[in-house]
Amino acid sequence: MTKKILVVDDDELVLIALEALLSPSGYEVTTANNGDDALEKLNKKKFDLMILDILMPGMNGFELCEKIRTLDEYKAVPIIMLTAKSGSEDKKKGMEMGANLFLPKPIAPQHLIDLIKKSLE
Amino acid sequence: MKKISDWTIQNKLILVIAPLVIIPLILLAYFATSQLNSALKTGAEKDLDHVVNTIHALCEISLSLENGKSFIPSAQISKIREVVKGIIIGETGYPFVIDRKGNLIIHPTKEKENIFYSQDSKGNYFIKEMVEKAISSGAKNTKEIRYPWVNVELGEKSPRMKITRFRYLSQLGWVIAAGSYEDEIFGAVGRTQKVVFILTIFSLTIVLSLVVFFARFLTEPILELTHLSSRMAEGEFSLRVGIPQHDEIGQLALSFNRMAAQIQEHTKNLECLVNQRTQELLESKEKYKGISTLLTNILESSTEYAIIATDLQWKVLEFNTGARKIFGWEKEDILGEYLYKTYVEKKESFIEWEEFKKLQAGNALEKEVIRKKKNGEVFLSRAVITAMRDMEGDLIGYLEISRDITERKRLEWELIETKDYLENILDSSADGIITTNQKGMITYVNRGLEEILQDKKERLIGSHVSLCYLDGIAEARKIMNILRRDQKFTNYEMTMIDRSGREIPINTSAALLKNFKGEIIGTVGIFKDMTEKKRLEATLRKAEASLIQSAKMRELGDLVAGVAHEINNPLMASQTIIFRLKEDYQQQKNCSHKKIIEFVDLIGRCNDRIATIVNHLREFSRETEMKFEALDIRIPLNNSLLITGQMLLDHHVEVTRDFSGDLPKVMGSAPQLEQVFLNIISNARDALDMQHSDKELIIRSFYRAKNGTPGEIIISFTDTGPGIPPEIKYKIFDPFFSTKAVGSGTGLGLSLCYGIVEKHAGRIEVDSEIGKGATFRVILPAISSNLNLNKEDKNDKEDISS
Repeated sequence: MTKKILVVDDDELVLIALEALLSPSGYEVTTANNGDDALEKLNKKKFDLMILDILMPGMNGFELCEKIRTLDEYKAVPIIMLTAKSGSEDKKKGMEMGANLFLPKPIAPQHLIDLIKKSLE
Repeated sequence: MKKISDWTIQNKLILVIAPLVIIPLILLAYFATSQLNSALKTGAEKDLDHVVNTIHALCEISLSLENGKSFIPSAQISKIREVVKGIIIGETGYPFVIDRKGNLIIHPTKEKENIFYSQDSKGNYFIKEMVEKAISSGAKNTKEIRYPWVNVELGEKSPRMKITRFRYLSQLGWVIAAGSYEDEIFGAVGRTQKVVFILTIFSLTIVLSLVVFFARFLTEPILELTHLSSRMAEGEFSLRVGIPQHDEIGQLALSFNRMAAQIQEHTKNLECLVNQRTQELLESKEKYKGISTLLTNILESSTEYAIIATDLQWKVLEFNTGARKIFGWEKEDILGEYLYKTYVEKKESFIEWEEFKKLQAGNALEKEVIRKKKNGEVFLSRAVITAMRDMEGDLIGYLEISRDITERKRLEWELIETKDYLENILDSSADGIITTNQKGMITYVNRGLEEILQDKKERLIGSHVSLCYLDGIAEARKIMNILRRDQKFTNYEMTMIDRSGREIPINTSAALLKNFKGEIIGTVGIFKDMTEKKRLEATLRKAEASLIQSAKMRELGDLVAGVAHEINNPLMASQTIIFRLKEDYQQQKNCSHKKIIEFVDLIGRCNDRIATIVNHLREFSRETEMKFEALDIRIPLNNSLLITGQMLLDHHVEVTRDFSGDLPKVMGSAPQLEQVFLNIISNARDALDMQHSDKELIIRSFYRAKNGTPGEIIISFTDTGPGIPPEIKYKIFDPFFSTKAVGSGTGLGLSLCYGIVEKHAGRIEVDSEIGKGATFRVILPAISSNLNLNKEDKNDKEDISS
């Protein structure tokens, strides 16, 4: 069964690039450019993994992550935080909010694919 | 009561002579009377004794002794009785014989009666007394009793004193007595006394009359002289004394008459003279009355000047209104007092010896001296003292004219002090100050100007001001023209030249000098030496540039994180696309041409984005130049947001942009204005970081028209932070003032902003209220009020995105 991945980022370029990277690898990719959009899409479909940007207008990645974890069906779904913020403080905060992985931008595409694959297993 | 010395000579003579005559006369009369009296009295007593003794002897002779008992035979007694009865003493006196039992033996009328207990008119038992006294005193002496007796037989009613002499006849126990009335005995005495008294009075009268006459005789001519002289004293010089005597008084009278004649003559002459003089006096009095009134008026109406006249002892004779006012003495209190009472010095030294000699020599003495009022208050007086002389040139006193110059002196000092003070101020100014007269001749220079021109006051004053100007007379004319038009000017840039030919850049302010009437009397100029300032300005400009640069670098450091994010996004996107392309190409997957183009385009967009950011960073870090150009304010505004957008997002600051699309341009430097906006935005972020929620920053730009100018462009930044406390509000533009923790801010940010905006002829305003955030407004002058619609900037409403 095709794994469904939700990518949330306010940068259009990032969304296009990730979709182009992940779709050919056999994942069903859905994109959202802000937190509210993401939450809406989470309700429509059950995703197997989520990639969240942190710095977004409105609701940021941490808040979104916290909200997602309140939803029953997403309590254990892997969440990867992908961000230009790489400070250890941020990483710690991300983990506290329930993220599974905290990855810096830019990240080598192959490495990202490997990590996604591993997370989904 | 008149004193004796005031008595007339006549009375004095009487007083001396009368006692001399009267007292011996009275003494003589008294002596004669008393001698006569005593002689008569003794005589009368002897008469009585004689009668008594005769009868006594007669009885003793007749005594017969029988049986040891003495007795007188009856025949003998009869004979004795006859003899005794025949004796009459005086007028009514008589002798009688009585035995010791009171029985009358012999008596003119009451023979054989017992009168032992008969009483006198006072009630005394005078017979009993007499008998007892006779027995006790014995037979040898006669004794006497006196008693008042009324002789009823003779028809008398009032008692008369009676004297009775008696002797005891012890052999028979008889008392032989003879009595007589006193007045009968002393009748002669009384008569003699009366005669002597009358004679004495008569003599006294005659003597007194003689004395008075004599006194009169002596004093009459003197009295007449006196009377005449007193009348003469009243002016009756024609009177003469008529005294025929040739004694001293006669001579006196003659002299008096001569003198009277002379006086009459002199008086006549004198009267003529007096009449003449009186006439002259009346004329001159009339003549000088006017002058005198005038002088008195002058003396008394002079209230400003004290005029004091003294005698040679410096005792005040005249003290005019001014003197009373100045010295506080009333005229009646000071007149006759010494002048030194108005001095502080002592009597001995208030006029120095040299001064005194000067006065004596006829010189006026002028002195400024401390004086004393009546109440002790002291003041400074300027006095002129001169010696007063009479017609003959003899010194008769001194005249002082003085005035209170305390106030004038004080004003003088104040003026000097003010002048010194002003000169000090002028000299302490580093700026040069010149005043000129209307012809442009220098009338004053201060020390500052001496230093600027390296020259001396003495050489500059009097020369023409244009000599100090590089452009000479042309510059002077130019300055004068501006002054005539505007009265004054400031900040006029020109160049001065000193004697060595050194040129000095000068900033001048000048004004017309006017006197109190408002007439132009010259000019005053203030010359600020700009040499040092110009040098400093250059240095400062360099320093400022480097400061801006270093602040920018610091900002850059702050921005690196944000910028990295900004770059990382497109970088990651392009890496990912390239990976995809490479994968697809290697695996020969259904990689359509269209897809490749799409991917390459995407990579291109990523590169563009990175290029924009990198370019801008390079631009931003470039050495700051003041390159002013007509500028749409949104360019630096957007650029600053481009750099800070990510950072603001990172700090959860919600940014609202409200930019008017059609703003007039401003004249300015985009990088510098961007620096200003960056600073304000980053301060707003710091302020908002102090709270956890409600972080908002509203940025607006708009145009505001302003009368007479092209108007202003206003860029406002309103945050919802904690606000700026009022006590630091005025300090926030100071260099190195910072509210941030040490190390996190240089404190140069806002002061640099202020400098930059000032250079753009704009200003920064700040409004803030504690708890309600702060609004910074950058206000810049618009170039023109024409609205430019810049169609290239359609991206205005684009949200800041990562």
